[in-house]
Amino acid sequence: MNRLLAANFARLWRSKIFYGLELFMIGYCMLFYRDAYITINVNHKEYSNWNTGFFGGLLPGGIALAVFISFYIGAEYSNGTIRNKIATGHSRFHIYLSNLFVCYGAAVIMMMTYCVTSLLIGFILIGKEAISGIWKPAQGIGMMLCILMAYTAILVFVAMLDMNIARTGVVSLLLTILLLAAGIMVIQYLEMPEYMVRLEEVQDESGETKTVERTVYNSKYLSGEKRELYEWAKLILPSAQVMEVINRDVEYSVKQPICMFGELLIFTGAGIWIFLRKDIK
Amino acid sequence: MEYCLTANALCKQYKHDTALNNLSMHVPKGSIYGFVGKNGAGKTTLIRLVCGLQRQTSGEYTLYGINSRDKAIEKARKRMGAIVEAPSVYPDMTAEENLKIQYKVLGMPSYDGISELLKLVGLADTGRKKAKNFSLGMRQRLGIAVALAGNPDFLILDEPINGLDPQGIIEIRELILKLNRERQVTILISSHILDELSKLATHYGFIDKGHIVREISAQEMEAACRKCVRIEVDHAGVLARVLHERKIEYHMLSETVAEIFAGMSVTDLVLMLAKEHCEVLSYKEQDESLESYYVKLVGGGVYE
Repeated sequence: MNRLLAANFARLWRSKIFYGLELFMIGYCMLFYRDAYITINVNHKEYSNWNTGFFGGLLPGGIALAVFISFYIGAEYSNGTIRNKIATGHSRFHIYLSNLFVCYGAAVIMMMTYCVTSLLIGFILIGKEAISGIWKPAQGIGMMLCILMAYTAILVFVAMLDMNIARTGVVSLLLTILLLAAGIMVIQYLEMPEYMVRLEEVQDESGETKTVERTVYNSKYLSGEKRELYEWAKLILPSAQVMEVINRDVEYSVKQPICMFGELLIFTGAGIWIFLRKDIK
Repeated sequence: MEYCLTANALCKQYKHDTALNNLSMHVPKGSIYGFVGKNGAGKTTLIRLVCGLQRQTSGEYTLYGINSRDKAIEKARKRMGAIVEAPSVYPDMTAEENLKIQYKVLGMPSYDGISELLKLVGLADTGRKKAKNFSLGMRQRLGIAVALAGNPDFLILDEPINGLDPQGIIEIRELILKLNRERQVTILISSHILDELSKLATHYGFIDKGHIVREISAQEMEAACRKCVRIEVDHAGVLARVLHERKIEYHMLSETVAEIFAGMSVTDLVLMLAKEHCEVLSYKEQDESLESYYVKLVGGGVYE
């Protein structure tokens, strides 16, 4: 296993795609702080979204990770180099795990690159405010690592079971987009208020039309079992957890990392089980 | 005889196809085993099974005496190097970088031996050139170098000369012979190019429809393919005596048919036999090559 890890990391350090994605993360971060700088210093408006700045790398990071994993593992199949590992006596279990570890390592490095860049640029362009405005940074980083763990496990599962690099790339990207859309949808539904204020035009006794505010029940508000289901979906979907970490002053619960860890176990367990039985060409 | 690889009643069934059907084979240690068969006969499937890329449906094989169902088979594979179908190399890396990665995969303590390996396969002067810019022959040789990292005792080469130019074929042939003679590496080589294979192999295995139809040593093959005269007479005893007296090498195939392995005048032979009242019923010159032997063996079916 150590030998495979050493070989995989040696490959990672030589990967142009990995460095390209690192630049992509840095570029995305710079764009965010440029906008924040313009809002504050050019448009003279208030800005307080520092949480999005610091953890926002999880959004492009998802796309970057999908691209990286599909290329990194897909190339093992398309170049045939995975055969070198099996034919020289490495167990499939170790091959799967070593790929998972290296992909997770790459994911963490990419996110850390983004976070360090965000701290540096935030401090240089905005000042201390950009750093002190981050909500619960230690817990946020912990949760970020857990989300990356689950998300990496899902993408490695896809990449290890499909020998076609192009198909893996397309499936991984589509999956990322679908997960993100599902996460946003779940969060939006859960955030809907139970009651809404509606403006209504009413005629008074004199026959004049007036606009009045009326509090009405929101028919789309989720309650009961349906709400519970959505709450679970929020916990299970890594993308929903990403939105949580990025957007709001979230109160972290122990359920969140447990769910992410559970996903890691389920996808890795299933992936290994199938990979052990897979015919490789 | 000690065997590097043996297979016993090996079967591999895909959804609707039977790729291997009760295949049994024996690859002697130190040999160059020519694995001959049509496209789709099951050569690559067998190689995939031995390399652990696929699992057999039934049957078993042994690698250095270790059964395929034994967990230790993975350890036995550490003594093996293989090129399955195409050389497995990273195209964005140089020859040296590719070998360094393979050394790490194998857990070699240092990179000593990489330059020697590159020299052995004739890639010592490729410098910073990436594998994707290599010619087919160079890639093939790099694939062999990668397979040789870790000094395996057993090398499996699946169609190593496919698509190579004549110079490339010669280089690969010389490399294979060098590895076998100087390093005593046992080599299993599958190929369609029978003429080329006949210049290398010390043993042959002929596969057809997923089944080994014959295993034969190169010596036996040479005897079988030797230029000879097949003669049919009415008194085999007379023929045997005449040939024996004149110290002519021959082999009796039946009570009336013999093969004579020496060039001699037909007239002289007929006259000698006529003197002994032995009648020649038929006389035919035989000259078989590996190709004709193979075609005869597998029935000369249509190539896929």
